[in-house]
Amino acid sequence: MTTKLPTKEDLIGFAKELEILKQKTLAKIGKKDADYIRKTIRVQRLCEVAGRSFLMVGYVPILWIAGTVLLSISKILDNMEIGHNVMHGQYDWMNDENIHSSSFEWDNTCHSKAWQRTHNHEHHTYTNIIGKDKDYGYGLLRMDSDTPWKRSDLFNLVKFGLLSIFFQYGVGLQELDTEGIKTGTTTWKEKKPLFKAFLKKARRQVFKDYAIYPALGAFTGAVIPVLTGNMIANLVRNLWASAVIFCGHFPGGVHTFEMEDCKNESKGQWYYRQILGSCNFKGSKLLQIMSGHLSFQIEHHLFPDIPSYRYEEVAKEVKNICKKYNIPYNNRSFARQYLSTIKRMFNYSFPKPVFAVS
Amino acid sequence: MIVKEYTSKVFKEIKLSMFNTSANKYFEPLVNYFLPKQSLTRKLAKVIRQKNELDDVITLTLQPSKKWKGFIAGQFIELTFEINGVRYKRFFSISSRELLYKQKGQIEVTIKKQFKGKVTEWLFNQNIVNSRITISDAMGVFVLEQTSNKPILLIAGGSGITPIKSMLESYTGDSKLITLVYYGKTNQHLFQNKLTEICNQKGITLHFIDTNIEGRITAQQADKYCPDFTNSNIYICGPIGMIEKVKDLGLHYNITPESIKEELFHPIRFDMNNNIKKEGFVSINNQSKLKILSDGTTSILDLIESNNLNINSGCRMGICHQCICEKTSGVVLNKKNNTLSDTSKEMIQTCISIPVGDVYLNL
Repeated sequence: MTTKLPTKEDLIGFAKELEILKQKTLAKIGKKDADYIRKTIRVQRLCEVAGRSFLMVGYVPILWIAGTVLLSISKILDNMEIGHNVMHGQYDWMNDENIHSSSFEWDNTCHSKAWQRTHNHEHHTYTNIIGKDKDYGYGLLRMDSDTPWKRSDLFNLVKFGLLSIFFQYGVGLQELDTEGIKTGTTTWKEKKPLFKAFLKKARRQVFKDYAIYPALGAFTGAVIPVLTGNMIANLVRNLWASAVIFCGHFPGGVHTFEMEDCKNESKGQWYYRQILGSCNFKGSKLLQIMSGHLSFQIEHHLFPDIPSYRYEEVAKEVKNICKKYNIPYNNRSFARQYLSTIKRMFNYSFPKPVFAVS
Repeated sequence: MIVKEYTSKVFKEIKLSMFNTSANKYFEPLVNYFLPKQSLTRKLAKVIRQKNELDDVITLTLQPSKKWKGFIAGQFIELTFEINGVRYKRFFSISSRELLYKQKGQIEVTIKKQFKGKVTEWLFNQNIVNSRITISDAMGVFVLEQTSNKPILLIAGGSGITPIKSMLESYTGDSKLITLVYYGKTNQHLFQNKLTEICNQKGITLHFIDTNIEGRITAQQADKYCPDFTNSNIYICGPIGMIEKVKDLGLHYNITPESIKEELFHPIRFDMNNNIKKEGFVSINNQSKLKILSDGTTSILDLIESNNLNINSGCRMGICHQCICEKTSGVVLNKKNNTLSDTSKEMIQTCISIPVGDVYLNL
């Protein structure tokens, strides 16, 4: 069931307070943020260098574990805290061409430009609008009773599992809009160049982890350890990234909207939709960094180009503003959000939902 | 040949696959952090000395790393300063003589404080001695070449004296052919003592002209201070008004265009309080046919699209960064947070950028 937006007039004060908060935060941005992203990049590079080096002698079990763990951390940091945020333009103000949304390429089969189109543009503009936000279900999963049930939905959880395991491919192929091709809103011909771009990037990624580094491993007699280490690191990154991202918009209690309602949205209505369509999760500082600060999905959706490092301080005021204007703010533990997501996947596998819907 | 091309292509693919960027750019954050003197992607220079010439003029003595390729007198460099996390690039002419670099490996730049200039205002309040800044290779063709026996007329305006000072100090030809006419406001001439000393030593005719008394350059002045100026090789460095005046004189007196070499020194000054000229043009890829008139209220994205040019766009509200392009120079107003951009090269979101005056883009 979709949610109606409050009127523009009702949200004027709300929008104003959020705008003031944004300008206040933007004014603070400077050396601290620059130092933070540089430090994060250093840590990521060290983890990758160390991780891949350990894997080169990964025939020693403890070194294989250490190497795989470090490589997983490096891929997670590169994708979540660095890549996603840099590509949003959060650090463009630094005028550093190596930390800039126009040139950053991440360790993922999804090409940076494709990601910017589907994520920065589509997902952030049409957040949770049924039929427009492809992230809502990824064209694979049945999310609510609004979608008519079909037999393949019985495999909702299986599809969910597969999407999690192969998440980087799910993300890379999202632009192909297979749903749209089926329903006729677009054609394979239109999508072909995008598919070719995907193949080019995916080929490089596969080449790197499954050909180049294992080949280098031949010099130290560690081809299999390198291969398996890289595979597991990719898997860990996929599982973690998908979990964090699903917890942003899939848990119970999240709201969806109709396109008709959202045309000519005011700033206040846009903010409202971003808040009601997103969920936060609570956690330690480490969890926040490893999730690329998407533990603050709400703040990220309100202010996508404010450096994620600032979301925690911004969240305090956002919570107060929501309380003041009686706007729901979804913030629970990571475990609860994830379980709620699994529950949802299970629920809508069947024509009639098993659990009562809030 | 084909084998060579193929193998280099393969190597490039391997590097891109491994690092998603060049190997140098990948390791740079680690290298530069643990070995601050080194950089895999930039040339660094150590700031040796910072000296006040006048109240609003500073000279920095720099020691470039061994990777730097040296310079010819009259050339300029681009320095990058990091202020509060942001990198700003600015151009400066080298004001020291070539021998200083050849013997001691040092160069000097002389910087004048710009009114409300972001970089210069910061610089004048800092002590950056012993820090390292990024330095570009020397650029520019404003160099003293003399293949004939024609007299040489050097005209400097304000801080435009900087490359000319370097030229004078480094010139090894017949310096008695040279006349220097230096225009400046009362008591604002830089390097007065030094210039007098060099010119005495080398037999160069030197004239300091106080613009508050004698005004700006005219044909009579040129004739007075350099009687055979119509037959000279003329080198001029200063503000745009001065350069245009000299070129006019050149046309008037049939001086061949090749005899006049110029270097434009425009203080990239930006003052919100005075009447800023909002209207201007947007120049695309430096092509004279691609100059779009701007009224100072329309976004660059709208201007480009209304001229039927292709540019990416997305949310059109400054969030998705799809419409980014490179601004090589000029100032834009950011509609989203109502701030003015810097004047130098940077990337901008065209949907929320409104040109203020003339803007140069690379699409």
